[in-house]
Amino acid sequence: MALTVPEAKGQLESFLAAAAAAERATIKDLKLLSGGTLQENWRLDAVLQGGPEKGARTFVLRASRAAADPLSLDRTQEFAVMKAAFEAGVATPEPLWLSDGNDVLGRAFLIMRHVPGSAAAHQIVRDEAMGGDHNILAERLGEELARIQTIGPVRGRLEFLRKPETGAAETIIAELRAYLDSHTDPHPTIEWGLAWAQANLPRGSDLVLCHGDFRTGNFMVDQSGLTGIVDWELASWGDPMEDMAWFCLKFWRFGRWDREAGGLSAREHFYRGYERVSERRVDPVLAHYWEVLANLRWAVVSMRQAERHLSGRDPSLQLALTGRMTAEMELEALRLIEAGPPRAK
Amino acid sequence: MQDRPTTVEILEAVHDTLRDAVLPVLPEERRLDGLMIVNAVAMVSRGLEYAERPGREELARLEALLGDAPVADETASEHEERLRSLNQRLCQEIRAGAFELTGAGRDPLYRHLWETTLQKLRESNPKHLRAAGLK
Repeated sequence: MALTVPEAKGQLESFLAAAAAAERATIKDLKLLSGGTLQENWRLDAVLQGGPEKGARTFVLRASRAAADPLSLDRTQEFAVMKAAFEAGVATPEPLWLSDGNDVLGRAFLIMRHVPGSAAAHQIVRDEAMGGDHNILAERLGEELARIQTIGPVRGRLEFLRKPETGAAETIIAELRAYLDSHTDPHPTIEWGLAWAQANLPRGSDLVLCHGDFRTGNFMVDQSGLTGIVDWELASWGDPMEDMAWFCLKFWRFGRWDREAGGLSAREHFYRGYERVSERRVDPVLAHYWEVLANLRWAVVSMRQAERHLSGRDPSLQLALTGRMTAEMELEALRLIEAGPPRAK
Repeated sequence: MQDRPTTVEILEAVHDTLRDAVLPVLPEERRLDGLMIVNAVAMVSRGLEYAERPGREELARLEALLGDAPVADETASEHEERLRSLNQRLCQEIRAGAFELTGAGRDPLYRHLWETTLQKLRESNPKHLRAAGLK
């Protein structure tokens, strides 16, 4: 039987003590940081007696909630991805311990080190006091993205991650078409965008680790800069341009449309950071292509989210209203296709 | 004949009361819900005001694109059904590659998709259009 985190305080203390090789763990404070439908994040202030983590420590507990979503990693998988990213030097909270059984909370959870700061997207894009100079922050995020992409699908590594069988773009187009086919309502604009994408398939690239939702809102900052990239549950293997295009989506600029890189800065800063760490150069024609595809993907995600409400699985006004955002992504896809890629210098 | 206020007029009063009297006193944890509710009520008002006109215009454009003759004296539900089935046919033809994707040949379909999308946004989020410099 699933317990709430506060209900399981005693069990969590036992778990922490064992995991941290401490004589004793006392939880001083528990605070819900955020709760989606699939997982919840709690801040945990604890005092550990003995062991390598002895003293006052702050952790984040991330627990699974409702029934698993097939497109989302479970906690065991997410833990493995976080570990790989952390070990590759990516700025992400250090993943510490995993409880994949049901004996502590009645559901799986992982514990990571707490990082200071906020991920509040609307505030970050409007407030230069959050994240330091935003050009520098965008450049830093480009570097981090390149670091994430140093992780590739070698044998034995993160084998559970979804992997495109043919080209990454082709696979995405096929998945989106399959979803459209299963839907009750016709979406000719998305259909047309996918036809354009099919006709303009880019040259393939080696697969890399994709965060899957790399955008403003999924990284934390304090007043001096980036403190950590979070929320790895949509990670997969994919094209290097996937996360790059997602980051620059108009929708994720949270109103600062003029700042094309995540609502933070002009693209050049983001690209510069990326190119500093990566061996890859950013090709503006590819960037344009993947941004069209990103808009189409997000359009379909918005349909899926509305469907979660409409099917009764997850009644929520927020999910319902997300279904009315589809047209924004459709408009942007149409606009981008018509405008074409920026002229080469 | 129903008395005034009309459905739309009631919704407008509901919207203004929510926004001006209720939203400011909601506890912090309900603020997001309050904003969504105010937004959703405005959306519903706009939907009621636009009524079936956008659908009729969309259907006329689809008829022109697909070479279908208009149908006289349709009931509202027959019209809805035809709008759906022409859209489904349009999707099938796009998937089958019946439409040009480049050059001037793509203009008629593009203009239809663009106008249809604009209209969806006029109802769902006119602020987005204004921010994009569109109407």
